[in-house]
Formats: sequence, structure tokens, C-alpha cells
Amino acid sequence: MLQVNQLSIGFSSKVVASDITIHLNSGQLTALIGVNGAGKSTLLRTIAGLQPVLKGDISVGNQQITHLPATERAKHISIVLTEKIAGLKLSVQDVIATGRHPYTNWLGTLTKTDRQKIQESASLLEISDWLSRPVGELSDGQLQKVMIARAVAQDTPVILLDEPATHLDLPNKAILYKTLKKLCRLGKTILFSTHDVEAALQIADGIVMISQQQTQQLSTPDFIAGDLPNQLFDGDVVEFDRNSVKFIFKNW
Amino acid sequence: MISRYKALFLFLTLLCVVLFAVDIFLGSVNLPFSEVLNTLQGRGSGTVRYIVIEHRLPKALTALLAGIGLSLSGLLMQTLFRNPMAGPYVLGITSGASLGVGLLLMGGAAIPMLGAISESPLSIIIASWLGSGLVMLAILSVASRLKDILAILIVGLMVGSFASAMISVLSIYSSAEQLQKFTFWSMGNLSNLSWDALTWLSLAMLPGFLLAVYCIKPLDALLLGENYAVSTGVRIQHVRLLIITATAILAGSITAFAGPIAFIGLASPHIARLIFKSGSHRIIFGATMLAGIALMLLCDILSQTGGVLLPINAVTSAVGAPIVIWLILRKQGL
Amino acid sequence: MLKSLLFSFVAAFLVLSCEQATNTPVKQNGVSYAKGLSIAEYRDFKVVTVTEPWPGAKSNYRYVLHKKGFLIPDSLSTLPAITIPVKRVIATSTTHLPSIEMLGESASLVGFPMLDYISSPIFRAAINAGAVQELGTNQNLNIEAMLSLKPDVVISFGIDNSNPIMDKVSKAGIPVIFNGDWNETTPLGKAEWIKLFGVLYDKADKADSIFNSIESEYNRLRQLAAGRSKKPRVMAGSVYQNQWYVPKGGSWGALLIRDAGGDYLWKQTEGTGSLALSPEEVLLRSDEADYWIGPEMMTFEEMAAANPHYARFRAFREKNVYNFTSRKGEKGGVLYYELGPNRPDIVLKDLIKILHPDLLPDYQLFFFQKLR
Repeated sequence: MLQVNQLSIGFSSKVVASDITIHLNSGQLTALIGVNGAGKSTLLRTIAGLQPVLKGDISVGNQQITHLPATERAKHISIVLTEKIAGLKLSVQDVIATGRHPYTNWLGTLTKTDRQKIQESASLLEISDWLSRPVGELSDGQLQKVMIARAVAQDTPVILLDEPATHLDLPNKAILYKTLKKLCRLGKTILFSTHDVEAALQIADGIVMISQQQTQQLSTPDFIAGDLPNQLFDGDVVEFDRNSVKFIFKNW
Repeated sequence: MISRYKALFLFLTLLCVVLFAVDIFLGSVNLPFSEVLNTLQGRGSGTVRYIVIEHRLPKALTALLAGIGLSLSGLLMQTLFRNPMAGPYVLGITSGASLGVGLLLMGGAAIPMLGAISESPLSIIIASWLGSGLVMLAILSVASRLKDILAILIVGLMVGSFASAMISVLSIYSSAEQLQKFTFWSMGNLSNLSWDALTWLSLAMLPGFLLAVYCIKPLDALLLGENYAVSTGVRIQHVRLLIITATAILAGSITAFAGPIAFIGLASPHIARLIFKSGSHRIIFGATMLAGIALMLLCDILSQTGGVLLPINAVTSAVGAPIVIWLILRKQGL
Repeated sequence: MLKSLLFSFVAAFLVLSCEQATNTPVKQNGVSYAKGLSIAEYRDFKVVTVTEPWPGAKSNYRYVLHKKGFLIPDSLSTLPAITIPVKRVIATSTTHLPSIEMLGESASLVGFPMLDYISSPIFRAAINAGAVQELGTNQNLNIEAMLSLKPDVVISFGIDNSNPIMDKVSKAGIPVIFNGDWNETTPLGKAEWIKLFGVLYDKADKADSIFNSIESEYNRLRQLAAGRSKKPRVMAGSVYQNQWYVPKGGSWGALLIRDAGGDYLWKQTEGTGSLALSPEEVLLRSDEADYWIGPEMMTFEEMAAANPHYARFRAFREKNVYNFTSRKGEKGGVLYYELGPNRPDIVLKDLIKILHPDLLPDYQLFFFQKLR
């Protein structure tokens, strides 16, 4: 379970968003939405420890993780990003194995438990056949599965994903969302950011909407029923239809 | 899978042993095979024994150490900067060493005090070490303040340029003899290390080597990018400093004792990745070392065949440049 | 009418015969050892020909030397002319100076590049008195200073066909002579260039007699050493980084060793200059030489520190190593480089003293010194 209290995120020169308070339960799939530049990426990266917390605190379960050293934090939070990786000669297994780093010794030797976890993650993502292939040979969608498997192997209660669906075609999107649901059923707490609000409204249990003024968390039904969807876009151009749960273009 | 790696490692190790032996049995003069064999077995005397024990053996061992030190530095730099074209010298370590030695050998015209220092091999070693040490400190102090790894690379390149410019100025005001001495040094030289000097070199390299081994795990994490590395628990600033320090110690020591030697650091990791078809440092670390040893020994052997004794840098460049061009053409990555 | 015709005949005949007379040399060439120098003496002038002042020189260099007021024939008017005796001289190499000094003309030196290299006490006194101007380095001579000194001649040397600085100087009207002594290969050949200075200072006879005494002393010493059938084996040269440089068998130093009754290890190599050898090649012969001539260090300790392999050589182990750099001038110039080429008799004497000490029991080494 992930608890964020009155968090201020941003850079030393600029506060991107402040006073963020959210509470996510385990087994819950939550979508993070907001207009471009609102701070979705920044929020995820701050929670993951990639960017410093300006104010506030974060905890996972009962554990305060705001100021934990990276090695410890890595046991609570894992993240999947959109950036390209350089190590194209690494095998799929090697990449997933880096997820075990918080648990292995100084040399990174894999124990039986580690190998087991790797196998489990791979089969969960249905990529067990690819373990010895170099990641350079994979497509974007396939690579993303590997990165998710890695996050799963990291065995953290919370998994964050930064725009995981953005570069995927529809079939792959469906597979992605199915996987995320699967992980939630296993007890993970998952927060993912997305532009595709319609899809999010279909699959997520809850929505966090972030903007410069305020950040709000609602369950999906409450979100649909409320006024927030219209705040996402300029009312003249796009309108939200509650019944079909769709955004309609207006005034062509 | 595992057995495939084992077989490859065995092959590479055997190759290194064979090359080492060839480097001892072959030299710039023809020594009878049986006499060399005798000497290695503990018998033998006279000039043949002297040449084998005091000249060829130390030279081959220097090649061994240089192969290890340079190849590992190259690997560290390529992973840290996520750049397949990086080598041990991108941080300006050789430039610093060259400036140190340049000041010693050619600076007497500009700074009279320097002219008084003797130009013995020991002072050259110290001057080289001081030069690369100062550059290392400059880079380290900058590295801890900069977030972007690319900025550190650029600082290293700029430091290198600056040192090279200073050396150009020094060479204008130096005598032909001094300039020749400096040029000789910068061509690299694996011979003329006494057994004592070899011991010092090994001791100097040891901390760098141990640091590099300690970095194997974070290096694998770094291959996914610094953000992923942090998310699995790597302390980025800490690891950067370790990698830079290890590189400076390894490359700086070799340069101090044997002069700057090009291309081995750049080419060896790629050869290792090519043969083992892996990017994981748990495999590539050892493979790179072996590739570096083999490459260095091969270049030493080539430098003395054919009647004329070629400077080692000429050979490594002649062998290394085609490799690098081929790499670029095949777009070899990490 | 006949009288004036006869008169013009006689006049024409006299003029023609005059020309003829001035066109045949009184003495063709008195130079025997120096292959690059030849001096033709005419009644009123001398023609100096310098052949091959540097290896691969494209042409000979001829100069006409004449006293003031004497005519040069038209056929020679294209050659650079120098009025003798010269009173103000610029020299460019320390090897030019001993000839000037031996002829008693050291006061004539007005300018020189890299003054610190000069060792001779007489010239150092002149320098300290401010009589000689510093002209920079040979690569970067101070042309303006040279011109403002208004020398009568510049004694220069070239190493290849490109001598832009000297071209400028001679265009400005100052005669430049290329001294090819450095390109001479034989000991007496180098020393005989004093005769060039002899004609420049109009002291040709004195130059001849000085050279003759050097020549006879040299030959006397050579005969002395030739009487010895046992010739000690000698090595020369030193290593830097990975290259050993040893003088070739036809070089000046090698010839001196031969004349001193020594057996130079690489005597069979031809040519002048140095041979580059690999350390192994030299190490293989490390037991052969009894003597080692010419490393630059002062002490055995220094040598051992410079290269671990030096200590292997038998000459080193038996402590028979001699250098020639210990005798230095006031500002560090090595005397051997300055005086040696001009006094091969002294160098030969030193070498004989080293190789066959019993032949010269009372003689003390001058240039050479055993390492400490």
C-alpha cells in the first residue's frame, strides 16, 4: 500500500506541483492522468526516488521511504520507464536479473531464490521463451514486457509505470492492461500514468488527476460521475459523455 | 549456455598462454629455441639467459599488465558513458600524464627549475603519475557536482585538449633532442621495466583492479541507464566516483610506466562482447581482460618481427584502427 | 699611323695577357683531406669552392675572396665576393670558433647564436665583456641583429637545401659562406677547414702551418698505435626508450677508434651517422666490448638508473666506461663538441691513452674521463 502525504515535487528552481496526498491500497490499479506538463512523470519519478522530494513524505506499508537509501528503497518500489536502454547485447535474462540487485551480494551472484523469481516473472509476462535472446532484437512492445518482468522480479509491493501504453498498438495495449490487472490480483499496488483517459476509465480502479493547482484522487465511478473529466480539456473543443464514458470532439 | 562460456574462456586463456610463450621465444634477435627453453627451465647462462630473463620476460609481463589495465579501463569508460567509442583516455588521463612528462622533458626552457630535475625513468614515472593524478582530481571534483554524465565526458575532453595545447607550446621552445625524447616516450614502450619496476606497477594497479571488480554489479545496472540503476538501488554519484577512480588508477599506472598506449582499451571490450555475444559484465569483465592480454601480446610480437623494431603505439594503432572502423560500420553497440 | 697601331696592338696584347694571367691559378688546391673544401689561389684573389656542405646538396658553393682594391675578372663577377681580411665575423657553430682562435682572430667575432654553448675561455671573456651579440637559435636567428652588426661575412652551415634565413641575409648584401666541416667524415678532413678561415683572415700560411702540425702529430700517434697487434674491443652509443643508437663504421668517431688501435664493434657497418639497433641486438654482444666510449652520464650510478640493462655490459661491470662530456665551459657548453673536431690529434691521444695506456705513460686525458 502506498501513502503519499502533502508531497511537493519539482526541481530546486521550480515547483511543479504541491500538496499531493494520495492513498493506494494493495491490489488496486490506479491511473495517473493530467495535461501535458502537469507533473505525471515528475510525480512517479519522485516516488521512485529518481528525483528529490521537495516537501512531504512517502510511505509503503508502515515504512517511511522518503529518505531511505536507494538500496533499501529498491525493495519497496520498482518502476518501468519509457527510456531506451543502451545495453542491447544483454540477454532478456540478464535484464530481468538486474531486478534482483537489491537482494544479491556485492558481485550480483544469483541464488536459487533469485533464479526462481526470474523464472516466475518471465512466465507471468509470457516471455519465458525469450530468456536467452539479446534485448536488441526485441520490438518496443516486447522490450516493455521485459522491463515489466524486471520490475516484477524486483519483488516490490508497489510498481510504478510511466506511460506504459504510449508507444503500443491496440493489441499490445490490451495485453499490457491484462498484465497489469494480473499483477494487481497478485496483491501489487500499481500506479501508472497515461494519456489515454478513456482506456484508463475502463480498466483502472481509481484515478489520480494531477494539475498545478491541485491533485485529486477518486475512484473511477466517482470520477466519471463528477466534474473533473471536463476540466481535463478545453470545453469548446472536447466534451465528456458520461454515459458512453467517451470524449467527444465538438465544433468542427 | 554456461558450458559455452566455459569453453570460450578456456580457449581465450589458452590463446593468451600461447601468445605469452611466443612473445618470449621470439624477439628482435633469433635466439635458439633450445637455449630459451633451457633458460626458462632454470638452466642456461650468459647473454641468452640475460636477454630472456631480464628483457623478454619483463616485457611480456608488462604486456600482460598493460593488457589487463587498459582493457578494463576501456570497459569501465564505455559503460559509464554508455558510449561504445569511449576508451581509457576520454577523461584526459593520458593528456595529463603527457603534460607531466612534457614539462619534465621539455619544460626546462620555460621553467629553469625543471631543467635541473634528472630525466631518469623514475622521474618520468613520477611526472606522469602526477599529471594524470591531477587530472583525475579535477574530473572527480567536477563529477560530484554535475548530474549529467555527458557533461563529465565533455569536461574530460576539454581537459585533454588543454593539456595537448600546452604540450604543443612546450615543444616549440624545446630543443630537437628534448622533443625527440618526449616523442619517444609518447610512442609507448613495454620494455625496460626492471623486475622492481614491474612489482611497483602491479602494486599500483592493484587498488584500481579491486575497485573495478567491485563495480561489476553496478556496471550491469548502469547498462540500463542511470534512472533504472537508481531504481534498483545503485548510488549513482558513489559509483561514478568509483569507476572514474578505478580507471584513473589503472590507466594512469600503465601510462606512467609504459607511456600512452592507444586502442587496446577501446577495442578489447568490443572483441569480448563479440566473442561471447553478451553484454553482462559478469561475463565480459573476465573476457575483456583476456582479450586485452591477447591483443597486447600480439601487438608486442608484431612490433619486433620484420627486422625493424616498431614503437608499440604504431602497432596498436595499425591493428586497432581497422577494428574501430569496422565497429563503426557494423554499428556495434554495448 | 703605324706607331699608334703598334701601340694599340701592344696594349691589347698586354690586356689580354693580363686577363689570361689572372685566369690561371697560381696554386690549384692545397687541401688534401677535406673533401668538401677546395681553394684555388690566383694572383690577386682566391676562389673557395665548398662541395656538398650538407648531404644531397644540389650544387657547389663558390666564393671569391679578394683584398680591397684588387680586381675580379668578369667571369667570376657572379660569385659572392668577400673582401679579405675580414674584421667582423658572425659564426653559427661552436666548431667554427677554434680555427678563429688558433689564428689569433678571436676579437673578430661579433655575433653568435646560443652563446651559452661556447666553452673557450677566450671567447667567454669576450662575451662577458659584451663584445659578442646573442643571435637566438639557429632555427630562429635574429636577422635584424645580424644585419645591424654589419659583419664582413657570416659563417653559416646548412643541413638541407632550404636556408631561408641565410638567403635573406645575403640578399641584404652580407656575404654568407656555408661551412661544410660538419659534413666531413674523416678526422683530418674536419680539422683542415681551418684553411678556410686562413684565407678569410688573409693568414693562409699560418693556417697551413697549424694544420700541418696537427696532421703530423695525428699521423705520429696513429703510427704509434698501429704498432700494437692486440686491439681492445670498443663499443659506443646509448639507448633511449627502445632504440639503441650506435655510430656507424664510417663515422668520425669510429674512424678515430680505428686509428687509436681499437676494434670498434660495428666497424663493418658502412656510412656515417648512427645505426638504430634493438636492445636485444646490442645485449647479445654485451660481453664483447672491453671499453665503452661516449655515454652522456657522469657516474656509473647515473647510468644504472637510466636503464637497467646498462649494468649488463662487460665494459660497465669492469668499469671501463669513458664519457667526453665532463669538460664544460662556463655556461655548460661541452668542450668536446667545440674543440674535438678541430683537434683530432688531442682526441686521438686521449683514445690511445684509454686503449693503450702504456704507450703514453705521462699523458693526462683531456676530453675524456672515466665514469665515477
